[in-house]
Amino acid sequence: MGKDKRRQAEKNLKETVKLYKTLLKTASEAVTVSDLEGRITDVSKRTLEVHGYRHPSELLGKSAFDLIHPKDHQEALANLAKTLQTGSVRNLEYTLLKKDGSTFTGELNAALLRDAEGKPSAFIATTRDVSHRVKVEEELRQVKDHLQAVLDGIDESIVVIDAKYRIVSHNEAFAKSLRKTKEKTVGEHCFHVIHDYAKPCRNCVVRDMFKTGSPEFDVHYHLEKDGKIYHEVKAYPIRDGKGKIIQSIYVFRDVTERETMYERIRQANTRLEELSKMKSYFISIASHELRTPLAIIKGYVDVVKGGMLGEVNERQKTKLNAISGNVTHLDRIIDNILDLSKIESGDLKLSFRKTNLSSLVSSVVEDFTPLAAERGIRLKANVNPIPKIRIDSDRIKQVLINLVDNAVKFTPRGGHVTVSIRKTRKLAVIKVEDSGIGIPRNRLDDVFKSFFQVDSTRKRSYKGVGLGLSICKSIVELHGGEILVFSRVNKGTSVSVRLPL
Amino acid sequence: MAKILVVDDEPEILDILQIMLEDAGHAVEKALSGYECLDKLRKNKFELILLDIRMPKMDGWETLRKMKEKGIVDGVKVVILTIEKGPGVEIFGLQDVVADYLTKPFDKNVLLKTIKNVMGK
Repeated sequence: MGKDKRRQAEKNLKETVKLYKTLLKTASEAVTVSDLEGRITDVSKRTLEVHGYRHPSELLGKSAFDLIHPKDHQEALANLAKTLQTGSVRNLEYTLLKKDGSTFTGELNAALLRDAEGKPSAFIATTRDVSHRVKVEEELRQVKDHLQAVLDGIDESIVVIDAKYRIVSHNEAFAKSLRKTKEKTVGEHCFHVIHDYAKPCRNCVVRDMFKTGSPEFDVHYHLEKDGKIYHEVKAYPIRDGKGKIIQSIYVFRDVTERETMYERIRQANTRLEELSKMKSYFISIASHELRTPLAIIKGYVDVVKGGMLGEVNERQKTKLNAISGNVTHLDRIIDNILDLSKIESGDLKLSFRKTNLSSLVSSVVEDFTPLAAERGIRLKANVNPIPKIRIDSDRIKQVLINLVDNAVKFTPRGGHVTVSIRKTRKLAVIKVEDSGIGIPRNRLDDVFKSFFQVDSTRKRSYKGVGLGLSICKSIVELHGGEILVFSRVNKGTSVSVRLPL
Repeated sequence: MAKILVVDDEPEILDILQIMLEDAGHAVEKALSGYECLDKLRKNKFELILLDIRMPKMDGWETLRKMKEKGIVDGVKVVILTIEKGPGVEIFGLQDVVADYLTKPFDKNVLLKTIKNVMGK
């Protein structure tokens, strides 16, 4: 070669080497050059930084494999061979080592360098620390998994639908709820997948939501093979960065059981209302239809008994009295039934007036004196004056009559009945005590229940249907008071009525 | 003692009332309906009317209102016969017309006592 040519070649080489060294120095990438055996011949500054070294001398001459974690060595070897074959390999990911032994994830591109004759001479690799990216990717995956787990954990069907009714995504509950097995859901029309319709549902809340811009809710049914299926549906908006609604979150729940139950309850309620109206009507008619004949029977018996149609002998008078007694009895039963019915339907009306309760008690005791005398019972009144009290006097009188009647009825000859009234700081207390047959302890709680009778086998001697005390309790309670019973079998009973002053 | 008009749609009730009241010395006339009652009132003078409330076509309340309207109830005592004591008197504003009430089935003694009280006022 001529002297000039050699000098030119040397100059070119020097320039090339200079360019090359500058490139290496200034490269922002981590560049590593190694020979064909993988021994490092040159490194850029960035390579040192990335692997935690300070000076090139620490790495030059070392094996490139020292920079790679042993677990990836096999793969690295294979890739090396590949680079030799194909000339370049891209996007390799290895766990790389730092000087202090810590690891990081690196992304590598490797290329084969050839000499002037085209023979492989070296490997050149660029490395990028992608730990950060890998970490972010891992976090993202965790978040995604978490969200999916949350969505799949909810047992309501959740579907994301776009503006053209196509399914974008959904949770597991939705997949499970589909009555048929559908391989494909994403991308299909929601109305087709869910209902097998050819076009959107009549009352589509997703469509409404797109229109109104706010969440829409509905409960409706779809007619299917096995009858009405009720769905509770909700559509929520998903907006893009500019606030425009791009998709809808569609949540729906099968509420067929609930709705059919509601429907049943509604029907039952309507029937109950009708029945209640019928009952009131019948009872008011019945009371009139029953009382009129009673009035006629009683009237004529009184007329005959009173001698207005001719003389009546003692025997006739006695029997006529028996008829009158039974008429009165029937009348009381009708009263009780009417009262009970009113109480049950909440129709019992009280008219409150300031009343002298003490004189009311005295008058009731007076009324019962003849009957008590007839039955050989000592009837006594223990009346203390109390201030006038606001009560429905007719109804309270009804209660007192009932209680005294019971006391007299259930006390044998020779016994006593005492009716007392006194006041405490807040209450008026009326007590009816007798020395009668008493009520067994295990039946004390039943005393105020409808149809209660102490001993139903004795129904014949103790007239009554058993409604009286239950009505008394309701009346007293409607006054804001309470009624209490204490009793000992064969010793006697004490009934206490407490009314607020 | 008094001229009494008894009004009830049940003829047997009227019969019973007539027997009881005449036995006690009163003069009794009967009417089977509200219409008959108004008719009789126009033709005669009565001191007391025993008026049943529950009657078909024109009930006791309406009869009383008509009586009040026509002014034929002035100076006459009215006792109403009813199945059950209710707030009817107050509702229809007839406190000035109705003197007392009797419930059916009625007791002869209570009937006579009530009439005596009402006539005495």
